[in-house]
Order: sequence, then structure tokens, then C-alpha cells
Amino acid sequence: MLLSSNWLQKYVALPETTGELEELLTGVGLEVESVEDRRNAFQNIVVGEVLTCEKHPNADKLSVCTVNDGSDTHTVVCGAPNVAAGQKIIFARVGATMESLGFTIDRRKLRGVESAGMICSTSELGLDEDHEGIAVLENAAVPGTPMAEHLGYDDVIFGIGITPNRGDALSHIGSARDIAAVTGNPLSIPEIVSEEIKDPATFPITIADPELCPRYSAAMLEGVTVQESPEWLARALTAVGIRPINNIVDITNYVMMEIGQPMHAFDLDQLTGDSIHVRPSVLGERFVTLDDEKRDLPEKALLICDAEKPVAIAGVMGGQNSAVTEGTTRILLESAYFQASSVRKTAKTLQLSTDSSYRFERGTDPNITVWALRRAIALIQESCGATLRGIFDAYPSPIEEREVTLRPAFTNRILGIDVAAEEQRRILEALQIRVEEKEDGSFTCTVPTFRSDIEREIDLVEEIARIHGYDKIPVPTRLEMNVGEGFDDQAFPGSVRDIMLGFGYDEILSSSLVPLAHARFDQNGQQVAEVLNPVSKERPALRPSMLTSLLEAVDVNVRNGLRSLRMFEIGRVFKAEKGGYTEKTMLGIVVSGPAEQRAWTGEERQSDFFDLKGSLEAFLKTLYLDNETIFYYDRTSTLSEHVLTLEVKGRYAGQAVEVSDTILATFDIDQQVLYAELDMEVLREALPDRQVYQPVAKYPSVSRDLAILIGRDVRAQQIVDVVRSAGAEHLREVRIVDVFTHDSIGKDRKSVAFSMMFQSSDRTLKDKEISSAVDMILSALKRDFGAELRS
Amino acid sequence: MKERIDALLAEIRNAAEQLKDEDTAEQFRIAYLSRKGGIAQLFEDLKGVPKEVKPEMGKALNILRQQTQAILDTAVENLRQSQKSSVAGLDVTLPGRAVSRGHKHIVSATIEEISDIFRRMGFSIADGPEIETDYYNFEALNFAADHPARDMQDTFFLSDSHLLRTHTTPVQVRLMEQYKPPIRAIFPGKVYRNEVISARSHVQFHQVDGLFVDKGVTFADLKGTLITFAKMYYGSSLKYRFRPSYFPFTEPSAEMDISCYLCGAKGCRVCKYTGWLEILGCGMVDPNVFSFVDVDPEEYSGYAFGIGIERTAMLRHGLDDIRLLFENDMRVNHQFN
Repeated sequence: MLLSSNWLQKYVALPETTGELEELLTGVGLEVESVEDRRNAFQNIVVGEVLTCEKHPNADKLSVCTVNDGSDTHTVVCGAPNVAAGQKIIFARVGATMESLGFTIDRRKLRGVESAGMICSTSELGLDEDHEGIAVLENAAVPGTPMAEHLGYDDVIFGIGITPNRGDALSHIGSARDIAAVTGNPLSIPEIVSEEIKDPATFPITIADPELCPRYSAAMLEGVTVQESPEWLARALTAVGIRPINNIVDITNYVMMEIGQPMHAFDLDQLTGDSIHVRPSVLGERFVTLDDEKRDLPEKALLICDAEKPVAIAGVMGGQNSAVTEGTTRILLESAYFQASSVRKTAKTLQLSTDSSYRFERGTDPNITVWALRRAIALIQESCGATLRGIFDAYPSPIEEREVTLRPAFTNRILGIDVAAEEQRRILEALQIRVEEKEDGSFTCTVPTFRSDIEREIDLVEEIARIHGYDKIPVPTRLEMNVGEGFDDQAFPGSVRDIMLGFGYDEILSSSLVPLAHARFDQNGQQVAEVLNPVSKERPALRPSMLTSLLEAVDVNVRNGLRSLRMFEIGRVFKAEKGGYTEKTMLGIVVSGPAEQRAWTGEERQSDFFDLKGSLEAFLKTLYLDNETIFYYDRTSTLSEHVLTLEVKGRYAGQAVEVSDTILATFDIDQQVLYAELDMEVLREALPDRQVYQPVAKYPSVSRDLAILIGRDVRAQQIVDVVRSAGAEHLREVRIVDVFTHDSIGKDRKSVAFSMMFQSSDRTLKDKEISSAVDMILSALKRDFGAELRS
Repeated sequence: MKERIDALLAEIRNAAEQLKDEDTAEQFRIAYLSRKGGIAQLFEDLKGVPKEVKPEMGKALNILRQQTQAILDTAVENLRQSQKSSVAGLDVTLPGRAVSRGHKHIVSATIEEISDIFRRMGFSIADGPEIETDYYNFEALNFAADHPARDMQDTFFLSDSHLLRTHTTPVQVRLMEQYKPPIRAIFPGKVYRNEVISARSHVQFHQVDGLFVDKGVTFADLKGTLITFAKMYYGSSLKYRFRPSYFPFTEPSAEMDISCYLCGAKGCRVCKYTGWLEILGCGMVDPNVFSFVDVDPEEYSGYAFGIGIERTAMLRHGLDDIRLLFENDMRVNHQFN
């Protein structure tokens, strides 16, 4: 909302400087978002007089003029067809900055004639959209008058951000009230004279649902002349960003900007039956609004109707069928109080927000409607003379002022200050809240109806805090801490992040919302959680796994030429379930492209599954979970045929896969991608409380290597499992050191070499013991897989 | 005997001068220090020396053996050093073997930095679901069903009852349901807004909300904590102000501004020529919120606050497009550790 300091000044004395006023407004919660000092507008632009005007010798469409700017005469080339000698015009001197055009006026030659200035149109000043030639000013204008002065720009305009609870401040008087409360200066509201109605008309108003429309006031005026507004009025509205239309519409807007009451004027001759009915709409009704839009009305939108038809959408916009036009002579002025939520619902469904709906939604004052009517009537009569035929007021159950109790001690308890009860009282009274002190020291506060936001004690505390000043609330020098059990839900994700960063993985954060198609190929038969009303339709699904996010990141970087990628993300995945949704936090890991770059130390090496698996193994070891984890081969995954499943302490903890080409093709990725996901909750719950020291072995270990020939389809894990379970008591470690396939060994066989380490905790092992252990292992492999010792 | 020892020492010193490679060093060792070398020979001959000089001579021979060993060691070490530097293959200016290092995402880094400050002030860290119900996201936070305040937050709905949380504030309701006061915690996390993605707005971003509920918590405490935070995060010389604002779940509500550190509060495009940067919203917990979680507002009071992470990070690091944060383009991410 725009506030004019000239306008504010009519109601309250303002602080000396613009800066002080700005600070004051922001300090009470009317946040100043912009300040436009219009006195500084249009520097170097003045009223000028065209002395002579001749055709340019070298250009048909240009004229060469001499312009008197009050002190000098300048030669100016002008391209406007309507320029003529004797005109008073807007003259931009050399050095003037044309803000709306984005340049500064310079001396320059136009087709051989030097031009020293510019004759301007109003659109070139950014005043309007009128592009038809230069502006010709009234003849009385005095050359040399600065344009700001000529336009009456002696004002400072503040752009104010009003929070949704402060409907009362959406007007100059509303804002002036806060200024008065802070400065202690009196607030003066214009006096309203109740004129006697000589020939009262009758005009019945019926309200079908008084809950939606508690009050409807209207005034009938005859003998109205619709014309251009007087200059002061047009100027006042322009200053706060409202385009002047005609005296009647402008006056309703002026009253709205003055007191905050939205008003509407109907052409009474277009209404049928000299009566108003306020009723909710029924399904399927359509209505053409003032802006010439045909609108499908939602059910139960409040409508203002005459005897036959709707003539306005209550609180939102009037109808085309009853708008005030040049020929209008009889008008009905509407000044009503509509229920905030009803107006909000209608405006929202129609996607139509107006100055009127904006105010009704935030709560207007039910008891100001008639004041506003009288104010408007007086202004209309002043503007064009008119006969008042009656003020009609339907107000079935008047809304009373609310009583709220405030304990001054409570204020101090919440704020941590010590504001004396007397000062609290002063502040409340300055805000026009009436205060009665009770015996126990508490205040009974009578809150005027324009403050619909004040309902509870705490609301009054806020008023006192606001006016007293937040900056006056002291800052403690000590912070007290409670001793108690703290918790830290970020500790585990933080450790996981640090481990992965340490392994050289880059952290990414990506969108949880993904395209539906991407969500589907990784849903494992589960139902995808979907957003019903996305503004951007292409990503409505909540990711069921981290895969999509990581593949998108691979794609982005490969396209940018960065192929060597190791990335991870810690984030939520989601699924829909019967009657609700579940989400869990996952760690997603991706490895793709060269694992080692080509360098003088060696050739490039592409990453493969075992880069990923190595990271997982090291990761689990860092969490002390390596002994709790089982990796096993899983044939059932939809992601790929090469899938390793992880189980931690017997629970499914995630998987590692070589992503299938079909999925990679969806993302246009042309290099192999290894992907793993781990369930953070399963890992966290498996974490050991503490790591316990294991005594270092005192006796030497002995290593034995074994190479066997074994079927090609036997997996390494199966071999290791058999070796471990063969019964060799002192076997501590088994490590596959070589896998070799060649037709010379046999088409269905491979050679597998592994190294075993034996050690006892209480003695040095004898050669004989180890040899018999190796024999045991070998015979188990022979028994289970038909393996043979490779000679 | 004494003469022979001196003579051998002289010879050894001479021989040491001649050491030029590993072979000559080995020859030297064999000639003097081996079992059949010159010194061993003298020890052998010591047997025939008169009793009274024997201890003295034995001592002298031991010293000779130690000296010789030291001479050899020094010579060998020198040889090794000179050999090394003379090898043409060791070009120390070649780049080192690559060590890959991971880069923390700037949003995580910002959350961690902010969380660490609050941890130091005794705050716990809590977490909550990203899919919320209308109750936790709005109703229990005192958003009336048809209030314009709901327009402040465009919402993604999953069903009539479920939605993507529009702020991390619902966690405060969950905490107050779960624990009795005192409660002092912050809750960082991802939030969602149903908007068109542009340089200035995204469908997702992150917040850190905080809550402190106890007996006798005041607005002054709120200021003290947040000013301490701001000074730790932005630097102790900043200026700050609290100005009245509105949030349905706090009253009185405030926004905290700090003097614009980009322009030194002179006014720039980023601070919209006001010299102030808004860094967070805050206020005293509204009694209506307490009533939803059965905390007696006559006994307890509390404050709450919320900080937007992306805005904080973008201002600090000069990023001008929020989309850069979620595209995961490593040309961007690699600029931050």
C-alpha cells in the first residue's frame, strides 16, 4: 500500500524528517519497503515555451524549435507531429535523466542540427501510457517552473508492507493512528455534518444471510454530474497509485484510502425496483464484472442484486450492468460490511483480488459504514452539487465493541521489560482503546471495532510492545541454560556426510519432486505419493528412491563435460500407503565415469562396481557396522540384473546396483553408472553404543595361499562362506586375490586364488595344524562345488 | 700396539676419502670391520699384549671400532644423498597423485554452521516429517481455516488431510506433544511451496526453526539469543533491529534485520536501498498454540524463530539464482567446500 505524507499530515503531525517517519512506521510494524521523495522527481525538467517552430531542413518528420526554459533559449529538434509555436510544453534540459527511458539528455546533432534538450510527452516522463505526441500544458503554466512543482509533486510516498493482521492500517487514518500513538500527537479525524434530508426516498434493503453480510448501508443521490475530478482529488489518488476515473468513482476511492472502507457507486437508473437484495449465489450463475469479464460464480458467493438481477459481487467488484458512466445522474453509494472469510473465498475462487476485496478479507470496521457514506456525500456535493435522498442502513444485529482484560504485569512478564501500568494505559488509549482499571490493577479494555485483530490479552501485549518499541526491550547479558537431556537428530546424518566427503564423494541436494515416469520405474510395486495441485505439472511425484535424483545429477554433469563423478545425497524418499504416507531418510550414492584420471602416474581407469562396493565396505567399517553387515546377491530387483543387497543386523538396509541400460537411456546417460542406497534409520539403529578394545594378538599369524579350479557360476561369496564354515578353528581372514578365466582351464571353470590368515590367541600355531586346516577347507570346497586344487 | 692402532686409524681415514659408491663401501667394510678385517686382527693380537696395558689397549680398540663404523655410516649416508639428487628421473615439480575430495553442499554447510551456534547455546536438534497433516502445518499453529495468512504459503496438497510442509514450524507442535517444558531445540529441514520455479523462488528450500519453552521466557530472552546468534554468524560488529511483524503462531511477532553487510548499510540493490537485510522471523509462542498441546500459558511462555537457509547462503556467497542450488552442477558445487 502507498501512503502519502501530505495526506497523512491531514490527520496527525508528522516527525520532522522523512527518515524519522520511515523509522517510526517500520518500528510499529508498518514496514517501509520503498520511499519516493517526489520533490526530487524530474530534475532538470521544467515548463518550457515553444517560441518558434520550423520544419527541419533535412528531415520531413522533424521540426526545429526554439524553446524558452525560463532563463535561456535553446534550439531543440522535435519529432512530434503536434508541436507548434506558442505552446507551453514539458522541457527536459541537457543533463536531465529520463528515468522511464533510461538515458540522460545530451547535446547531439540530429540530421545536421544540434539539439539542446527535449520536448517530452507524459509517457516519456513515466506519468501515463499516452503515446500521442508531446504534452501540451495549459497556457497559464510559467516557463522555468520545475516539473515536480508544476505537477504538485511536493510529497513523499512510502510503500508499506502490511501484514495480514493489520486490516485497520490499510488507510491513511489507520496508519495515522499508529503515528499518533508513538508521537503522542493528537489524531484529528474529519468532522462529519449530518445534513437534513428534505425529500426522503424509501429504499428497502434485504439481507438473506446476515452472517455473510452483517451490515449494508447505502445512500441515494440525485442530480449528480459525472465529470473529471478536481485537481486536488486526482492528485491525491495518483500519488497513492490509483488512476483517476471520474469524480464519483474517485471519491469512493478517496474515502477508502482515507478511512479504509471500500465503497461502490451504482448508476441508480440501471437498477430495477429501487431496492437491494444481498444473497448468496446459486450454482451456475454467471456475471459480467466492471472489467468486462464474464465470470462463472462459485456457489455461495455473496451477490448484491436489484429487484431482478445481480449488480455486484459483494466486496469484490461491481457489475458492468450498473456502472457509473458519463450520463449518470442518480447514484446509489454502497458502504457495507461483509464477512472477511466469505469475501476471501469468493475472491480466491475467482482469482480476482481488488483493493476492495483486499480490505474486506483483512477485516473492515462494521461501524464506519455510515461515516464513510456521509464523508463521500459531502465530497460529492462539494464536487458537483447533488441532492441526498436518503441514507439506508440494514444492520440486523449490531456488532459491539469487544472487552478484553489486560494485566499490566502480564505484559511485563511476556516482554521481559518493566513498563509502568500508566504508560501501558496511555498507549492503549492512544490507539483508541478505552481502558478501565479494576481494583486488582487489571484493565478492562474496550476495543473499537476497527481492530478486529484484538481479541485476547496477548493481542494487547503486542500493541504495547509495538508502540513502546521493540528496540526498547532490553537485551540480557546472560543466557541461562537448562541442564537436561539434549538430543541431536542431526548428529548421525552429519557423521554420514563427513564420512562420504572424506571418501571423496560430492554432496548434492536435489528436488524431492520428480516426473511421474521416473518415479514409476523405481517404485518396486509400491504406490507413488503424488501432489494433487502442482503449479509446475511436470514434476508431481515424490521420489520413491534416491536414484532419480542422482541420475539427473549425473546427466547434468556429463552434459557439461564432467564425466568423473562420485556423488551422494542424504534425503527423504516417500510412498503412499493405505490411509497415509510414509517417508524415510536414505543415503544415495552414485559412481560413474573415470575412477582415476589419466596422469603421468598412470592411465585412466573407468570406475566399476567394485569402486562402489569398496566405498560401501569402508563406509560400514567406519560406522563399526562391517561385522553386522551381510551382502548378498539378489535376482529380484527391477533396477538391474546386477544387484547386491545389504542386510544390517538382519534388517534390509539397502542395495548396490549397476544401473541398467534401459534406465540410463531414459536419462540420456551414455556411461556406466553404479548406484547404492542405504536406509539411514536401519544403520542408525544398528550403531554400537561404543567401540570396545580388542587385545592385540600376541602370537604370530601365518598366511597360506590356495588356488582352486571351480565352476564359473560359483560366486566369490559362496566360496568365502564355505571356506569360513569349513571348520578351521584359527582361520581369521580370507581374501580373494585372483580370479582367472581362460579356455585352457576349461570352458565352465575358473581359477580362484585366495589368501588365508591363521592365528591363535593363546599360542603359536604349528605347521601341522595349519596344513590340516587347509586340507579341511579344500575338501569342503571339493564337497560343495567340486573344486580342485590348481597345480 | 698403540702405534699400530694409530696407524690403522690413519689408514682408515685415508680409505674413507676414497669411498665413492656402494661397492667401495662394502670393500671398506670387509677390509676393516668384518670378522677378518683389520680391527678384528688387532683384537686377536691383543691377547699377546702385557697385562698392565691390556685394558687400556682394549678400550682404544673399541673406540677405533666405533669410529670406523661411524665413518662408514656417514660416508654411506652421504653417498645415498648425492646419488638421489643426481638421479635425473625425480622431477619434484611434477604434480602429485590426485586425491579426490568431496564437497559439502552449500545448504548443508549453512545448516551445520547455524546448528553449531545453537548447539553451543544449549539447543537440541530435532527432526520431523516432510509430509505433514493440515493439523500440524496450519491448524495447531493457529492458522484459521479461511485466514489470509494461509495465502502467505502456497501449499502442495497430497490429499484432503496431507500436504508437503510449508515450513519447519510444525516440528514445534510435535516436540511440545512429546516433551514437557523446558524444551529448547532447533529443527532444520526441507520445506515446500507450490510456486513457479524462477531465479527467486523454488518449490523447495530449507529452514531452521527454533523453539524455547520454559517458565519465565521473555521477549528479551528471544532478543538476547538471536542477537548472539547473529553476531556469531555474521560478525560482532553488525547492527540489528527487531520490527513488528505477523505470524499466526507467535505474538508479539517480529522480524529481525541486520545492517546490510554487502554495502556497509549504504544501500544497494540487495537490501533494496534500505541498508537492512531481513534475516529471520520470530516471536513469542502464541497462547493458542500452547492450548493445542496442553501447555498452560499462565505457567509457561516461550519463543520461536525461523531462518531461511537458501536466502542466508545466497546472500553470503553471492549466488543470485536459487535454481543453482538444486541443479547439482559441479561447476557450481565445487566452488564450495
